[in-house]
Amino acid sequence: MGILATLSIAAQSLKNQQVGIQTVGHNIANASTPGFSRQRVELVTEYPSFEGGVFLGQGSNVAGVQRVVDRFVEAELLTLNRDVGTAEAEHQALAAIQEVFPTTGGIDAALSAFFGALSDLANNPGGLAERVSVIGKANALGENLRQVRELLTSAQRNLDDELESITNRVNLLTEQIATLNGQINFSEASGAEANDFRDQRQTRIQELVRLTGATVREEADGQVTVVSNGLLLVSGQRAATLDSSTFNGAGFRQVTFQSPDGLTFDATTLFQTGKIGALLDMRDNHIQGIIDRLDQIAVTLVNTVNAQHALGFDLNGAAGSDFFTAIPAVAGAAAVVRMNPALASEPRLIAAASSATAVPGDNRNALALGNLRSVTHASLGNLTLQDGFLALVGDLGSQVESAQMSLDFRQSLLTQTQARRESASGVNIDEEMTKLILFQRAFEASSLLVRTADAMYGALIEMTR
Amino acid sequence: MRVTSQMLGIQVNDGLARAYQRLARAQEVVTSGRRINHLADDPIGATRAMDLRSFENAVAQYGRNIDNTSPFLRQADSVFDDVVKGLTRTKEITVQMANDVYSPVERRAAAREVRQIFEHLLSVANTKVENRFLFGGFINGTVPFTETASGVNYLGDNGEIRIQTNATSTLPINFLGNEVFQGAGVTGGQGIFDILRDLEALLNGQSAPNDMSLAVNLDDAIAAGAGFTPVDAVGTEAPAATFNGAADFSTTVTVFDSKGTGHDLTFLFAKTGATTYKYRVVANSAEITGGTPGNLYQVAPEGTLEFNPGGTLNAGASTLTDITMIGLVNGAANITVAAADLSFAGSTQLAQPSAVLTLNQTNVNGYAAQLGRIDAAIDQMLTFRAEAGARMNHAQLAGDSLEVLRLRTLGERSRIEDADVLAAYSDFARLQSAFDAALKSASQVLRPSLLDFLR
Repeated sequence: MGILATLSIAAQSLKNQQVGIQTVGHNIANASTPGFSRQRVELVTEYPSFEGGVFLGQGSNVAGVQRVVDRFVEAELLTLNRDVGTAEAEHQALAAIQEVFPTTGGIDAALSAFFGALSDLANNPGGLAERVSVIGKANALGENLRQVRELLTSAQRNLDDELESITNRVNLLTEQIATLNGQINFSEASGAEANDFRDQRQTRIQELVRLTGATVREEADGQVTVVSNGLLLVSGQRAATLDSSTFNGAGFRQVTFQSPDGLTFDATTLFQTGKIGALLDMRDNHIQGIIDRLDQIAVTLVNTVNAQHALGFDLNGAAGSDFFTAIPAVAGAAAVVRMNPALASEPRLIAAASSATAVPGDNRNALALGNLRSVTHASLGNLTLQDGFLALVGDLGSQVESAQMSLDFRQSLLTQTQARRESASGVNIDEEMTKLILFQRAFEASSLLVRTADAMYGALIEMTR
Repeated sequence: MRVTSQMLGIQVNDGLARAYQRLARAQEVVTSGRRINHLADDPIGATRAMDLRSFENAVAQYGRNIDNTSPFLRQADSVFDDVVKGLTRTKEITVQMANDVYSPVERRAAAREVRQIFEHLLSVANTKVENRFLFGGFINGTVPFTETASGVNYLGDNGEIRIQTNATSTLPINFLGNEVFQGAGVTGGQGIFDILRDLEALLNGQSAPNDMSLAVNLDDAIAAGAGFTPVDAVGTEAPAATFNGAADFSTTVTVFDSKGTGHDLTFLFAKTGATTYKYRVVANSAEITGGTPGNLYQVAPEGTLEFNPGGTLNAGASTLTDITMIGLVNGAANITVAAADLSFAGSTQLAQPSAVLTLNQTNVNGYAAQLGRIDAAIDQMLTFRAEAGARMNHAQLAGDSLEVLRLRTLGERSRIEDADVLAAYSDFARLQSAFDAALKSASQVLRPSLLDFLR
């Protein structure tokens, strides 16, 4: 009890209010920093002194600066980030190839025009104009198939290129997380929470999970372990690296995992979720599947047209040669659909007749060629060429639609959860302003207390003169 | 719930982004007029629309094909009409010329008209439509019908030019010349060109007198004998010895067949009494089929002649028989000289009668046969004409049903992929005002802060 004690309370209070104002300032300064969690000064009353039979308050003290975090929401955010990463990559890849198949004027229209031209030829088998039109339509069809396949392959290449930048990013993130693990471990040895390091680490973990689909576990010492489908990406202060500079037989990048111990192996098939997993799945399964089906359609077209054409006779009375250049293998077929150059440069060689002696009036082979429009093929699942193509397009459309829906759904979940996180951890400027005013007023009051105590001291000293 | 500035920011951004996205889609629908602009907008609808579009293309193609049949079938119809008209005129001529009142000159004039009709029908049989022969099958390099000395040859083939009228059926657009004009493969089929040529020949051949008068040598200087030995059957060869030894004299006359080809008949006479004679009619092997060249063949039973004093024929006591030549070359109709058309008169000329008289087959048979053929040919032509009509009908019906199908498909596709313009526009307007409202409210919510009130 005494003036000194009052002065001491005032001095401590001045200090406390400054800590409060600094924290408010920190919060305001980081109001728009992504991943930042607002911090709160924990003031506690000082242990009272027992004097003259009463407990006398000894002012307040700063017990610590806490970051306000909802751990459930943080964990949920990680899962959602993984899902959104997967959905985003799927949607991105599928939406890109969707535009390769326009809803009007695509391969289906080219097929239809080709068979239409053959039908016109049947109407006038001797006509040169009809023959030239068949050549034009066949070239357009080949061009269309080649172009679509080229676009699909380049979509695969784009995904492949993206894979490289993603693995570089993953390497950067794992290293940063390992470093932050060390800093957190060191800082928290004293018992205080390393608020800002944790915020930084959390944002990096979110990004890493989005890319790799990894799961995260926090150890007792505050460090996190990051594991993706059995691959230890970060353990304590050690980080694994991914490498995408080796290529598989098809010329696509493989993901090589190098553990902190230097163990190296091909981990391409181990990534199943996250952006990497989705990219690999799109590149090797979905897009490749579409390319394979397109190749099957192309090879069926070429083989059936060639077979029927060979049964006919051209305007010179010679048996029909290959209509399209023969295709050696199914793989890559759509990229090499070309009209036989000999026919393309000499319309007379199109075999519209079924008998060598009945040219040029005989239209039976042209009729049969035109009728291939409605012939079904076992190699296309007992569909016609047109329906086979439409089935392919329909499947792709459904995939894009469901990828879109899944992305929308997960994105909105993520947004809602981010809002929940903001609700708990975000900075509200108005709130901070109010706190600022409170701290400021308390500061002013504390200084008044100092002045009062000072005046009291003065009075005491005057008294003794 | 605690609301923070950043949270408001996230919500505003997210909400505006979504609203903007919806607005962009609505805008795309309004500007393109189509409900489906990307596969993912409606994968099932998009593929269905693509399917329908290619079906539309096919239907349009079938429509074009059917349009293509029309010139062929119409031309065929008009050709058949011409042929029927030509044959009808020919029939008139034939009926007219079957009367005996026309002179050879008039018949030759009629023959020239028949020739004109023949030429016209030959030219229509070689009709080209769109540079293709209508009656030549697949053959296009050679004219299908050409006339030679022996008749009209068909140089086409049996190719039916078929046109696809829908996914499963075809329609032939040409008619085969050998069926239409030559009756090939048609039950009771008639060769139209043959009829006209035969008729022309028949008309040209009608230049002989109506009946045949033969002078018989009643010269007493000829000794009466036993007549012809042996008795040969009709159609068998008459050995040279038979008449060289037994015939006292002979006369050769020429008769014309339905095609106007002359055939020589040799009458062999043998004196059997003072006023009685026997005669036989023989023809050279070249006039009948199957004979040994150089030999003569008997073409009628033996006849007897009895003359009255003064040289007239005692018809009651004589036996005259019909003369029939069958199996004539070049498909000509059989020649029959009725016994009634034969007249014999005696002559006391010392020399053997050597006049060569030409027989006129009154030959209603020739005209009647031609008339029958013409009627059959007209029937044949009418049958083909009916078929052309039926095919045109088929094409018309197929075209009509394609049109119905096309409209239905078009409607179906439009229903699937076209935007309901009113709904699309009102959607757009609604979304736009929602977007405006979102923007306004965002600006209202984000602006005020406690700071505004602390100044």
